[in-house]
Amino acid sequence: MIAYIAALLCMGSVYAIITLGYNLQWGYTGLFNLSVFGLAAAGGYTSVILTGATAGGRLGGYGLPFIIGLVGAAMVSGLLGGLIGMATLHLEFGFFAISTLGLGMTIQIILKNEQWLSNGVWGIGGIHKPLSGFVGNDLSNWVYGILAFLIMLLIFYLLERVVKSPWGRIQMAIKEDEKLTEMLGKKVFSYRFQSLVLGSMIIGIGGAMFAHYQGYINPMSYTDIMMCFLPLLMVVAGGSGNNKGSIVGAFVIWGAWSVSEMVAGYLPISSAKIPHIRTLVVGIVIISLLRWRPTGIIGREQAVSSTAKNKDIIAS
Amino acid sequence: MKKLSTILELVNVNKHFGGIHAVQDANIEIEKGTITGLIGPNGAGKTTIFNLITGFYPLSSGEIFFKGEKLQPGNAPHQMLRKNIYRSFQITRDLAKITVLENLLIAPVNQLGENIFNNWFNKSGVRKEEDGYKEKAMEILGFLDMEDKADEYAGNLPGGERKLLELGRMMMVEPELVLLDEPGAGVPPGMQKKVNDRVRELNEEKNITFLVVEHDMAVIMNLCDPILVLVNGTKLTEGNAEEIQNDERVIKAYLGE
Repeated sequence: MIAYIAALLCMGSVYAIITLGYNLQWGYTGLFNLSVFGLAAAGGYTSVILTGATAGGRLGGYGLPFIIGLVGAAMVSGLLGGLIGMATLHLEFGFFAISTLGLGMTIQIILKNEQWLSNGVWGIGGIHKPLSGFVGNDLSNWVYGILAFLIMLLIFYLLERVVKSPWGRIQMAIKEDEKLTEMLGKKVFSYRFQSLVLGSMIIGIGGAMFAHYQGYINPMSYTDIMMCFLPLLMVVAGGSGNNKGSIVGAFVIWGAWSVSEMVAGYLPISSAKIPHIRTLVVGIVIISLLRWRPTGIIGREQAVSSTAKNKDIIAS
Repeated sequence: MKKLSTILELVNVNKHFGGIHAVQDANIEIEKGTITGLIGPNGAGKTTIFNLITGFYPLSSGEIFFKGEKLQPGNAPHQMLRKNIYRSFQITRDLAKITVLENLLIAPVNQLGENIFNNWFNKSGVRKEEDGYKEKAMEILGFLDMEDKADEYAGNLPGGERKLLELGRMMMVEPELVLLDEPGAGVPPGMQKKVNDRVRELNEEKNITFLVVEHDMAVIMNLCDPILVLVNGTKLTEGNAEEIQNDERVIKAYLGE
C-alpha cells in the first residue's frame, strides 16, 4: 500500500505537469492540441539521450545531469511545439485538432524508425532515476515522487503568475472570441503561438519526468490514449482554465486509473479484456462529466487578473 | 454646419465577392467630430465597408485614408486600436465568461502585463499599471451606471447593458474614431435612449467621431448628422435627417420602384 502511494505520487506529479501544460493550451487559449503525446515523447527521449551514460550505437551517452535533461526536454518540445504551431495555428478548430494529431503521430513514427536516434522499437532502458543512488531502491520512488511534486509546484507557480495577468486574460479572451480580441488590438496568432510553445515546453518536462520514473521507454510508452486523451480528461475533470483543477484532475484520474488495475484482478473477467474495459470507462467518465459537471471538479476561476477583487471559484 | 476636417476618407473603394459587387466606387468622407450615420437597404454594403476599413477584408481596389494617412490597403485588424480606431460589431460581442470589469481591463493596448516575461520579472510594475486601469474602469462603470455589475459575467448582462459595456470598453482606450455597427440591435427601447445619450456625450465631451451603421431609422434619425445613404455599394446621397427623409431617391431605394 505504501509503495502504491509512492507510485501515485510519482505518476500523479508527472501527469499533473503534462496536464498543466495542456491546460494552458486547451483550458486557457482553447487550442485543441492533439500532439501532446508526441511532444511528451520528444521531451522524454531528449532527456534520456542527454543524461544516459551509455549509448550503444545510437545518439546519446552524454551523461549530463538530470536538470540539463529537463531543460533540454523543454527546449526540444518547445521547438517542436513552435514548428507545429507555425504549420497549424492558422487553421480552424477541427482542422487544427486533426493536423496536430497527425503531427504527433509523425513524431512517434520517427522515433519508431530512426534507429540511430531512439533505438527504434527496441526502446531505451537503464534510464537513471535521479537521487536513487543515495537512498537505495526502497526509498527511490519516495524521493523521486517528492522531487517530481516539487518540480510540479514550481511549474504551477510560474504558470499562475502568467495566467493571472493581462497575458492570461488575453488567452481567455481568444478562447471566447477571437475576432473581438483581434479588434482590441491583440495579435491573436502571436498569443496562441506563445501559449502553444510554453505549454509544449511543460509537456516536454512532463514526458522527461515520466521517462526517468519508468526507467525504460519505447515509442509506445507515449501512446495517444495514455499521453494525450488521458491528460485531456484530467484537464476537463479538474476544470478547464484552472491550474489547481489540473493538479486535482491529474491525481484523481490517475488514482482511479491505477486503482482500477488492482481492482480488476479481483473481477471475474479475463485479463485480456481489462484494458479495453478501462478505456471504455474513461469514455463514460468524460461523457458523464460533460453532461453533469461541464466545468469540472473545481470549475474555473471567475477572475483572471491577480489584482481583481473577486476571486471566488465558481462552478456554474 | 461649419466645415470640419476630414478624419476618414474612402477613395474609389471597390469590393467583389466572386461575381457580387458589394461595394462599387464608394467615395465617402467622414468629418471629424461628427456622428455620421450610414444607412441603406439590406445588402447595400454597410457592414462590408466596416470590414474594409478595419482590414477584415482586403480591398479589391481603391484606398482608405485615416487623418490623411493611408489606412488601407496595408493594416490588419489588430492594428486599428493602435491607430485610435475602435470598431463594434453588429451582434454585440463580449467575452461572456469574463467579468464585466475584466472586459474593460482587456481593452487598453500595449499593457505591460501583455508581455509574458513582465509577469515573471516585473510583476510589481504590471500590478501598478493594472491598478491604474482598474480605477479608470470603475469610473467608466460609474458613468454607465453599471458599478454594481463589475464582478458579474458579461454573458449574464441584458442586451442593452452589453451595448453599454461595449461603449465602456471603447472608453478605456479613448479612440478618435469609433465604428458603431447597429447600436440599436437587441437593445430594448428604454435602454436605447441611454445608449444614444452616452454616445452623444462622448462625442461632445471627448470629441470622438462616430460612424454609425443602423437599420432602425428612428435611432439614426435622432442620433446622426450627417447621414449617408448607401445603395448597391455606392453612395446615393448625403444630408441631415430631414433632407434624407424627404429625398425621393432614398424612398425609392428602400421601397423599390
